[in-house]
Amino acid sequence: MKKTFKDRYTAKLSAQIAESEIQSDVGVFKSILNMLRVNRAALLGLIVIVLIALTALAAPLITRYDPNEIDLASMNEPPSAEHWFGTDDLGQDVFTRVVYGGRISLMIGFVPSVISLVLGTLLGLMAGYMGKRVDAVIMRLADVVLAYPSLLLAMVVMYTLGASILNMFIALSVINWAGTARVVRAQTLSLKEKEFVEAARSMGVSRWMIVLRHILPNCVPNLIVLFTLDIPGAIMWESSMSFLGVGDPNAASWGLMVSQGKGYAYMCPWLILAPGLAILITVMAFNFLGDGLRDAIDPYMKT
Amino acid sequence: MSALLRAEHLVKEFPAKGGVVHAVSDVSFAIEAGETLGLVGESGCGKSTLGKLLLDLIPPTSGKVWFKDQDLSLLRGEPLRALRRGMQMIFQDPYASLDPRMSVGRIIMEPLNAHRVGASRRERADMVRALMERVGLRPEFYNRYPHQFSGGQRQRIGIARALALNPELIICDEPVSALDVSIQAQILNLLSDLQAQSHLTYLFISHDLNVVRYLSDRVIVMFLGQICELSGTEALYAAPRHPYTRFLLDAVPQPDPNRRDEARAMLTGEVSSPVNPPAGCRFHPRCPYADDRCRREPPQLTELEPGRLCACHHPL
Amino acid sequence: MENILEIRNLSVSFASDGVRERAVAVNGVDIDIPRGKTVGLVGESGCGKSVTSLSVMGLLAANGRVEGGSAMFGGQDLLKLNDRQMRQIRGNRISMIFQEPMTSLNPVIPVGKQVAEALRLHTGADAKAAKVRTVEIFGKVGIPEPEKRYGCYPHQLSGGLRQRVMIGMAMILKPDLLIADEPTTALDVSIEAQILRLMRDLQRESGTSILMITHNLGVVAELCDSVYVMYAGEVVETAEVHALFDACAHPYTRGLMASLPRMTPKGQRLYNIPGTVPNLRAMPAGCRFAPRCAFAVERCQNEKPPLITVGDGHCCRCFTPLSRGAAPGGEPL
Repeated sequence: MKKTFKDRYTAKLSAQIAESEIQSDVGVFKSILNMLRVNRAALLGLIVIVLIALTALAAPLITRYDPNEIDLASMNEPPSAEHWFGTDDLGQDVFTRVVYGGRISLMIGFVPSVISLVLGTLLGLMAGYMGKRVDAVIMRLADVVLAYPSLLLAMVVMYTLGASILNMFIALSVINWAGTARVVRAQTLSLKEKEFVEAARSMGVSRWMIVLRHILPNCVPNLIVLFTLDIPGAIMWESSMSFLGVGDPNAASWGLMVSQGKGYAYMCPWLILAPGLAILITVMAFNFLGDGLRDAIDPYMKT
Repeated sequence: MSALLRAEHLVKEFPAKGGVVHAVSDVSFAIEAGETLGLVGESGCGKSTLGKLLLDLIPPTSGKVWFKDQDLSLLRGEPLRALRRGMQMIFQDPYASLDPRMSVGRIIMEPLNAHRVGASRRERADMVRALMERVGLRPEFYNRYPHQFSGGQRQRIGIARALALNPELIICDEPVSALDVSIQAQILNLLSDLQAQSHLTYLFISHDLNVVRYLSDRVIVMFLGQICELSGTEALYAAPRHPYTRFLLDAVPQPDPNRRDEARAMLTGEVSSPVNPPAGCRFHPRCPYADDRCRREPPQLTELEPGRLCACHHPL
Repeated sequence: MENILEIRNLSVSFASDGVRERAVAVNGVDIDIPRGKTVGLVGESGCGKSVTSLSVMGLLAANGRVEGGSAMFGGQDLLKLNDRQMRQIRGNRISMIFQEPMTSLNPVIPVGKQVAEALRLHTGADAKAAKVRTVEIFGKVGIPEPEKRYGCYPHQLSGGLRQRVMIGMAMILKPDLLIADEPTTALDVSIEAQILRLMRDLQRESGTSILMITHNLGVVAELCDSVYVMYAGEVVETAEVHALFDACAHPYTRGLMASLPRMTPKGQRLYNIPGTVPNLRAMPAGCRFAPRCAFAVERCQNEKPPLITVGDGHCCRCFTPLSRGAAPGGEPL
């Protein structure tokens, strides 16, 4: 028992020594590039994300159908050369709808993650740096959000505000900011005690300059990871909510497609398989990339 | 000579688990302009806390700091900031005290920006390059980042930053204890050159008695938040008056193998904790000369001979 | 004299991310540790002194690799043993102590129990006997109230007491060799002096050989019988301790000694070795110290000096070893 603990420790120690004896001058971004070279899954994730984003953007160039074009002559057709993923109950081309739906799903992944990133960072910095009452108020609020089941909270927001894509952004931001705020606060608290912050204080640098120049930049690597992992989360939440019928009925996201196809699941499985796989692949791609980024950035967070 | 900085009855206490940390207890002394005052003691003796109190980085529980005959506790806002330009600090850890995400140029420029020195960014950049040359860094390294430098070079960056505002007093908190011997000598030489060039005053905090001896004119020895001895350097090292100083000097491993077989007195017991320190003389539990009076009555810092202060009932 | 450990021509390299070439951290090191003696291994950070000991113990990090050489210990080459065989030796016949004892103790197990378990693991003693023996050794390494301390968790002990626990754990199995890697660097001077005296007393009593890795020449002078000085992955000088302090022959050693602020009065400049340690990936072609050496001549830049004998048991890796009294920078001190 004691042996293995000590052995593990010494191995770690020897790694540290090796690190100090071989002066490395690899920065965070170089280390991310290195990570992508070694970590195949993360690289694959990045490639898939870029491909999906490009397909969504260039949707009209990729498919010759209109996503909302109703063709009652070809309803619920299985996949064929004509319709790669088949057609739905209105004769709309499923492939086209998946490609266009990517625009909405990616936007739903992206926008609330940006909002909660900004909001969470701001509140986290305030809580961590100002402390005392500000900290207490912000963190109790975060506790409430985190203690309440996220899906329920988001659904309450949607019911109250009405089903629209804008309100979906708000609902998803409401459930996501608290996690970011917690991480940023924790890191602010530890950075605040760092000697370089004390040095800045001893030179008479003002409080907000310290936050802006020293604390925020040192949070950035963590925020990148958090952001990359927030996006698939938001896509998943939106899909669940659309499936449960609280999404925007006019925004044809992948989640909504699964929801609309569920009645035909036995007869026409492609109706839920195609958008379902799109969700799966996108979320996995983001998660692979996020995990890789975390590994690459981790050593920088310790020093 | 007039006192550049005076500490008057400084006290700093923190609440802690199981009691109160008496980090600094009733410490008074003065630093004369142009001198180097050494401050030695073991971990937990309050020497770093004292340095931070002097810089007003943490507020004292009670007591006052006078800098250039002005009471820091009475100043607020801009006048305080202006006065504090005259005191800067060099930190122990050349890794932790530099922001890893700032280039060297920006690190050294930070105090200039904070006090709006210089007319333009370009002028400030020129000042930074001049500072880099002054501490022995190549100005071409302006855009490099701290991790690209060795420990000694990083400490030079920290020194350049401390010099940027042309301070009168620099508080050096263990500036060489994280460095290798050969690099340590380079930095000590740099510090003494800078002092000669710019008439700097140093408060030199260290646990290393050899280093303090090399650099200081006078030395303060601290034990558990109190000054136990204050004296001119050579006199202190030649004939310490406080038993604790004697033991410290004997304990330092000296690079002389012939010395190892000499019989030396050795301090027994552990480093005492500043949480709820003992009554009477705080050193009495480890002191072989302690008697009843030491256990009861805390000794006062008294002048035994001109320039030699010692807080002991039974000075050596 | 019989050697307990003989390291011959040890070379160790490290890989790091994104760089193809491996960095050689230790290059052709020979070290002898005589039975019952204390050998010092000194050098500044990055000189390879810790890597040397870790590779002998089979504890190199995953990116490190022994490139060659041998380490003969009791008729076995430690570098050729597998993990299981190495574990038999580690902690049993060779023990290690480190700079920061807190990190090598398990924080959630009482210290006494950790020592007792180590004892049981290697000797198969029963729990009661192990506890008795542990309390006994705690007393021996100067831990006050050993019964009480047996049940303490590491964080409840001071740095000095934790280091005493580590020494107790290292000595309880009466190892043939104790490797101490900067054991007093994190301690205060008064505690450092106590620990050094304890190590010396224990060694006299048990006859265990000690390999003392340190950057502090004062510690070497206090404790060691012979010394190896390392610079940039190589041994540059080795001598009996008095010979080294009286008349070191290598310009690097001389420079190190002169850099120590001991007797230099205020106002006088300290000697300092100019420049910094070379990068492991860009070693000078000739003598590795040549770029910083005040005595370097053209030959030093191009040709690698061998370790030559300059006195009884005194070797030096230099073409022009210094004579006694020469100043480190070529001018008088």
